[in-house]
Amino acid sequence: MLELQSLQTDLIQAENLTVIAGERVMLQGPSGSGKTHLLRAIADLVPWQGSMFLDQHSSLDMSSPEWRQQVMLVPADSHWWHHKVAEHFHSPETAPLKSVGLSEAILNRDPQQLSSGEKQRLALLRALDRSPRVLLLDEPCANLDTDTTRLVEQLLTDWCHREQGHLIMTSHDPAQRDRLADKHWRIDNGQVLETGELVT
Amino acid sequence: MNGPELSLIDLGLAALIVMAVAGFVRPLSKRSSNGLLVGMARMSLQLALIGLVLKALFENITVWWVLLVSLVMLLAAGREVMARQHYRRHSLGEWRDGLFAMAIGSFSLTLLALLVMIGHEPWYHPRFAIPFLGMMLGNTMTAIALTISRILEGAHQQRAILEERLALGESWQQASQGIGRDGIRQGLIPVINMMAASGIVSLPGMMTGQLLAGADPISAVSYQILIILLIAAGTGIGILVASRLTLRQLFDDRHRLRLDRYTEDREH
Repeated sequence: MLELQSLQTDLIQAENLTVIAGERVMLQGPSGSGKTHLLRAIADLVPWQGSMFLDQHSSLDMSSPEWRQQVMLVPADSHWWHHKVAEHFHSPETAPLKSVGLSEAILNRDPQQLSSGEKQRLALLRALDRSPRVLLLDEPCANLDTDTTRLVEQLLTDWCHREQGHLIMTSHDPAQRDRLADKHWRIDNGQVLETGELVT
Repeated sequence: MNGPELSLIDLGLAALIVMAVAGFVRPLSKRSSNGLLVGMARMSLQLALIGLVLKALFENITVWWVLLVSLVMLLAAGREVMARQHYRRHSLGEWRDGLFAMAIGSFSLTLLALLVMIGHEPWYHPRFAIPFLGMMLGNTMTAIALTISRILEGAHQQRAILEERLALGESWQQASQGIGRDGIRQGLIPVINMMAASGIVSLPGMMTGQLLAGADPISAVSYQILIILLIAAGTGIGILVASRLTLRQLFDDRHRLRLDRYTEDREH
């Protein structure tokens, strides 16, 4: 279980929020309300106050890299620094490329030559390759067509069930939020609140 | 043995030519033209002052005076390193890093040269100590300024990559390897080029000075080789220290990239 207690940054604050294993949380709020910022705070990439626990282990009892290996952010725009896609993976041979509509040949390509949709799916696989417990996804389907979006949704749902993963993601598509959400969080005037029903 | 003395008229003639060059540059870049003129005035004044200081030091040889002059030189070099940066932190830490890297790179090698290789009595004689330290500081200063500036520019240009690597669970040391490597490479370019061109394209400054002052060429060459080797070692050490300290300062204790601590100096 992921627990956020009195989490506060210079932009947002959240009283007590939890995500249990296997749960999918949809984070919503108007543009500029701080959704990306909240994901970055949970990944410990911006300064914050309060407490965060994963399975009762405080984030402060481990180093930030240890925390981020378990609580992993995939930003909306992915970036690549090696010359080949495969070099960004720990075990490229096990990446479930086909499940998101990619072929194995893509592993040998130069990331700079890939489309934004290909990069977005690969960024998700690159994160899964590191076996996180919590995935923080910022608009993971923004550059994908409908069919591919469904493939990614299926991959995420399977991952949550099979690995008992925790998922927190943003999406601008109300239908997608409806399809995936076990729970909704909404940011209003800097306050992050859990909401029972879908707010559009 | 002494070469022919230079008169003020000889120096004035050289200065006139620089002023003429500044005049030609002026329509193209007023700033560079002013830079040349101010630089010339500064250089003449500084060298005249150090001439007087050396004269006074030669007449009154104590380790404390040599140390004091060395410290002033180090502080001036530290100011110069920071003044050349485009991204500044405007904090004491920023000064401390540059100064520490230069002190390690130049003082340690100068001491080695004075105590082991030159072996003059007393070892701190300003005739050797000040020129050696000056050469070392001048070169480590340029190299360290280049390294720091390349690293800070790299961090700003590659901010998204650095953050993504951190998000994937890398430590700041792993995430910043690329920009650190670029910084070290950039800082080593001048000394590598200097070694490659020495004796073929250019006669280095110290050797030229010695030859002009009438020294034996073989003795001038061996001093020059010693100096270049010490410069190469000193800049290498200084750059390694500076890159490590600069990279460390880019991140906080929780391995977060903290570019919010830097401001951009638009004059550069």
